[in-house]
Amino acid sequence: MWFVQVQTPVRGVGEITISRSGSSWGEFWTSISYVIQHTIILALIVVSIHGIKLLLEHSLGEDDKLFGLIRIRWATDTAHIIALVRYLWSILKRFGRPK
Amino acid sequence: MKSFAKLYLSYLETVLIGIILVILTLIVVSGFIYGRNGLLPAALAVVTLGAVAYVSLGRSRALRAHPELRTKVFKESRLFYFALNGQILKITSSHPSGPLLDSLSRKQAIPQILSRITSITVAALAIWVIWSSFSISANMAQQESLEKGQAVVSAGLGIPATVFNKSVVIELIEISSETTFRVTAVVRSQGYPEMKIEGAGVGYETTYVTRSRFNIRIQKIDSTSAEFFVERIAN
Repeated sequence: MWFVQVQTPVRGVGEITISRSGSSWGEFWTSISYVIQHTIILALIVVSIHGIKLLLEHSLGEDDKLFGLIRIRWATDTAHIIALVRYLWSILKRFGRPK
Repeated sequence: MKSFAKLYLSYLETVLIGIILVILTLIVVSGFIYGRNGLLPAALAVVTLGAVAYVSLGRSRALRAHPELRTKVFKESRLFYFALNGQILKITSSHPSGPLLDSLSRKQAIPQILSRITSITVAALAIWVIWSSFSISANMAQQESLEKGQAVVSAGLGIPATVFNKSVVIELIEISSETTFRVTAVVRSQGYPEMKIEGAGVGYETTYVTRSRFNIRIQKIDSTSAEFFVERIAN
């Protein structure tokens, strides 16, 4: 919510400063920055998982399968799901908090 | 609000723990299905997962005892250590020698030492299981990708490599390391003259002629051994 707050001047006499304030606006902005922060972290984690995947595939050689049976990308795909669940959990924890 | 780095490390820890646990589970499944030399890593992966699961039973108790860990970096690893400490304390206090430990006033010290040793053992076991499974799988993939008349052999100092039913023997004489590793080796076959490879690095390729022709290429060199790719070419 927006509203105008008239503050008592500190320096000069008769000065009027107009500022915007309000708890819901501040809360909204904090929430937005919270979501942005977690989204950037999620993006960084996706890049990190990709790096781990390349490392694992490189160490497994030409055929990236464990004992010739299971592809190692199953592990990194699960890691993507874990990161996404953690992200959604953080968001839900933030917005689903009872007042 | 958590700092950016802290939050990233917290996410990364969750993801890494997830990857390790999933890889161990995949090793259990694929190792037991594959059998042969996959059985040992699979069995040890079961032991590791069992130990982790047992310790994780005390996670919530450890979190209640150490609420300050909620805001720390690497929360889960620290909780694992404290939960392990708790489980070991439980075991040692129920052990017949528990009163003896009390009387020696070392009740806290001994479980702490034991939990340190156990946590290092669990971590080392997990790393070894993953490393051994990966190296077995990589060797399998390499062998399967070879066509008929091709082989990859490794020779060590004093341990000659033989290929194609001993028709070619590669003996390492020396491995020198200046900027890169270089090998001096002798290639021999019964009834044919020897061929010397001198100071050759990775990628060096030569042909050894006996009744058949053999293309020999150096694939890998480390401080103790060298790996050769040998291909038999019909004359």
